[in-house]
Amino acid sequence: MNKLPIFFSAFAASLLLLTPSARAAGTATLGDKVPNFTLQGADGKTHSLAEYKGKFVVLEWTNPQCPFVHKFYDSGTMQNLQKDETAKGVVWLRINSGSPGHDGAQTADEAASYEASNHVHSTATLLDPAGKVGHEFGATNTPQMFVINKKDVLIYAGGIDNKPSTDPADIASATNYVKAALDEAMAGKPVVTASAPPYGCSVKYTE
Amino acid sequence: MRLPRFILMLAGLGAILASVATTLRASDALPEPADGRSATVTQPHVTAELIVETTTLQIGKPFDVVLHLHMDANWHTYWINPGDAGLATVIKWTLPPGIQSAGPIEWPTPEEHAMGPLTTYGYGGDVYLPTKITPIAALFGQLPKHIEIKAHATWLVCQEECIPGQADLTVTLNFNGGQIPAPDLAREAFFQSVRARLPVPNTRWDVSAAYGSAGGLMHSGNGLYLQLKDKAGTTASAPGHLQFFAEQANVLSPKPEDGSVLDGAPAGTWEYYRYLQQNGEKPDQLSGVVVSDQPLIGTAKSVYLSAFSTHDTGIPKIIDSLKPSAATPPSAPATSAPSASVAAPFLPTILVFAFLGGLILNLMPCVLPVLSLKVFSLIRHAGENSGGAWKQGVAFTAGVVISFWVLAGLLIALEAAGNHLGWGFQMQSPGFVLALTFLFFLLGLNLFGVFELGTSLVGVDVKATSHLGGLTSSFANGALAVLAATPCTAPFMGSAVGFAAQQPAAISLLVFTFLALGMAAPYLALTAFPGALRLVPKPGAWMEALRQFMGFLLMGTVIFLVYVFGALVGTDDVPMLLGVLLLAALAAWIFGRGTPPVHNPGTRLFSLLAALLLLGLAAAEGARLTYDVPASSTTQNGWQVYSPEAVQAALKQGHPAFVDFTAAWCLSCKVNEQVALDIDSTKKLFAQKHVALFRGDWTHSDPQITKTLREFNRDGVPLYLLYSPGNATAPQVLPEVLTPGIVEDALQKVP
Repeated sequence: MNKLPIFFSAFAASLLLLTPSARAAGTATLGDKVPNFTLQGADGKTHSLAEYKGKFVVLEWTNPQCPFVHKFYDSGTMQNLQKDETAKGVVWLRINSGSPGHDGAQTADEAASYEASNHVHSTATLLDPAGKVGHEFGATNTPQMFVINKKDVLIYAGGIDNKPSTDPADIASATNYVKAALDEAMAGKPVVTASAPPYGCSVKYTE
Repeated sequence: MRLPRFILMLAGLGAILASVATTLRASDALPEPADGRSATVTQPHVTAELIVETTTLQIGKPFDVVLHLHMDANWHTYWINPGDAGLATVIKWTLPPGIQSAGPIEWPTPEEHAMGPLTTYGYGGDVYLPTKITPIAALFGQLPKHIEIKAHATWLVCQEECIPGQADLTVTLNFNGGQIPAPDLAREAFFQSVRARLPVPNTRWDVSAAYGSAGGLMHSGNGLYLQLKDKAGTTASAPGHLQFFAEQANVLSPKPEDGSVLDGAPAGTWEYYRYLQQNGEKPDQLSGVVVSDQPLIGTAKSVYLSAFSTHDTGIPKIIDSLKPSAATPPSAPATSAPSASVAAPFLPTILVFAFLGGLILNLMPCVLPVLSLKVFSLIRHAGENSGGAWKQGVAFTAGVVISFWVLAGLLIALEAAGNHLGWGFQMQSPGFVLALTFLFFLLGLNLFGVFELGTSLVGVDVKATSHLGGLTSSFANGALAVLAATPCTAPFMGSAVGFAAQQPAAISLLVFTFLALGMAAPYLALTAFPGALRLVPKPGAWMEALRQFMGFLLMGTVIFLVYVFGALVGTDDVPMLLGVLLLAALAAWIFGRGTPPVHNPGTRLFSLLAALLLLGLAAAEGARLTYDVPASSTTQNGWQVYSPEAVQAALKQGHPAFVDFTAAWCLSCKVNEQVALDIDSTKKLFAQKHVALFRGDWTHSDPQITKTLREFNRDGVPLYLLYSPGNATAPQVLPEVLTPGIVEDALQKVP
């Protein structure tokens, strides 16, 4: 008698799911499923988030001209993290939401040659020249990181670490929130830091 | 999106024009003193130098050192909170012997800079960043004649592209044994001008704040509500242009159009609302700067608000009733469409949600069987006299509406009588639950065909034959549906009812009316459109099967009610209740044996009397069961019984405290507990954080819990509170629908 008959709970739970959400459609919100998107990749193919269902996905907003991005690429930090995590089956998508004509905006060819010369280890680099996906995720900075779990739920949004600077010397002593979130989520633990201030250059959106 | 920014620019332009006449612009260079300066360091787009307030060190007398950054036109550096992007300027001090400490940068009032659709906070032109340096208070040994203060400054300067810069700067002070230096008027004037660019301390307002949503219905917390109450009680109305910039990054949306003054604030009080940054944090405290184009304190147009709590408990009530002003921000953060900048009127929004809430009630397990009953009878009528179907719909709707009115009236009357009752209170009465159990049980038996009813008994007859009887039965079905719906407080209906309970009676009634219309809508629609009726299959043998199937649904409801009854009076009495139901079933069966086709009047009378006798016995036995209600439950699975004192005691010992207000008859409470609270991962988190767990059981009416619910603007359960130690008055209020993620997020905010 202590437990409510389970079928009632299941029934009620399904009803609760019907409760309308206050959130705008097409907005990625922490703790919720993220909206799907489809973007052109530097590899000439289109990539859709839905392709990677059932996998951890990291989204990295990037801009090759930004000194904060340089901090992580010139030191090899970002590439190493990409290598380590993709080896564990994580899908790593770099996204450039730079509007054409703006500082750091890339064509597919430019993005591909950047990948090659910088030994990028991501799954793909995607171009979002209209800024649509950037706006859905509320990406404001480069770099800015998002981690999506196997159930399509956004579990981390924010800066890459807790040392806002352009100084590569700070990386060693910083806590990398992306790695932390992935490690915790893979171990079945809750993500301790789910949001942290992003820092970097502004995403060069179209007006 | 464009219009508000355009207006803002005009307003900003006006402010600049007005101030130019008397003072320099905030970003202009100031005439600097000739000495007491470091060498300048030139970096891309920035020239940096230090300027010291005094050239002669005096023991124990603090002085300012200013970092002056001169930026090329259209380039800017950042405030402590850079806004959407950027990086605050940082100074690392190297202090010689004789200097005790260097304070934080005292930030001048920031400017907003648009970077495409993003907004950053910072400075263009010339910015002067003072830092307070405190020399030692007493002299231990001899100081050197020249004391060097070194600063390592790093900054990010951006136009579109961003370039980090840095400078190592040194100023030298003389020490001549502590003699007071001659006054230096040029230097004093310079430092006065520098300080004039800082926001002034807040001497004017009492500040309260809370996260919430302007719509008031969803406690989704997508904005910060800020209330500035004039300490002097003056009645000046809020200036049209007023903005709050939080020092903490990643909390509030920096977009100018996402912050606005709210209309309808009480006299002497300004109310301000700003949307939260998407996926940002919600710290327990904020600090920042209030900026206007009008003087706020003296001639100062910007005021510094030192750390204030963002969990003022009085605020959510105000949020629920506030109206966004005409110059209102868009209704959703970040991705809102331009057209969304027109604010939805408040009452209509409430009414729409009340309607939706009513609609959802139909899906509740306590209502669905009743509705099925009615749809079933509708099917019959579709076969018999399809033309009158809409009348059935109207009658049903009337039944629902009037019952809601009765409930509303009851609620209002009880409220007036000072009874602190809430939605669902009927379910706290064992007698009521017992009666409902009987009713549903007998209805179930009726559907199974154990007995048949005439045209008028109980009024919920599914086999209504006469036209009038059909309408009456429709009406009664509507009323029954409402009665049965009450335990299922749908998540946001709680808010609508909470709103209604605090409103004038007329508005309450309106809200309840819309709840009722929402609930009746599907049925009304089905009857109003005979086309849809035609889609309903023709009567036949399947109806008997369907009817019996409905009986199972009703029996499911009976199980739920028995469970509630067990929670109310104790599980020991449940077998007794089942016995009573068996007795009732026997009565129903005997009654059924004696109704037509049986024609012998003697048999009919005998069966009727026997049935009544047995039913009376069952009712009497049932009534006896409702006495002797035991005291509320004791500690269970690590959950302690809630009392405000126990919570405070746990907080005093430095433990966070989580309170789960629940009731046995509250389905959403039980679901939340099973889905998000009584699961291993959450239990582990609770244990890690040493959270003291309290359960406030509202299964029986408990005045203390009712009072607490009311304090948090609720009329019913569930309510989830998470107290942090050191903040005994302003807990986090969790949503009415919990997920493990929500609980985790909340726990992570506990220090």
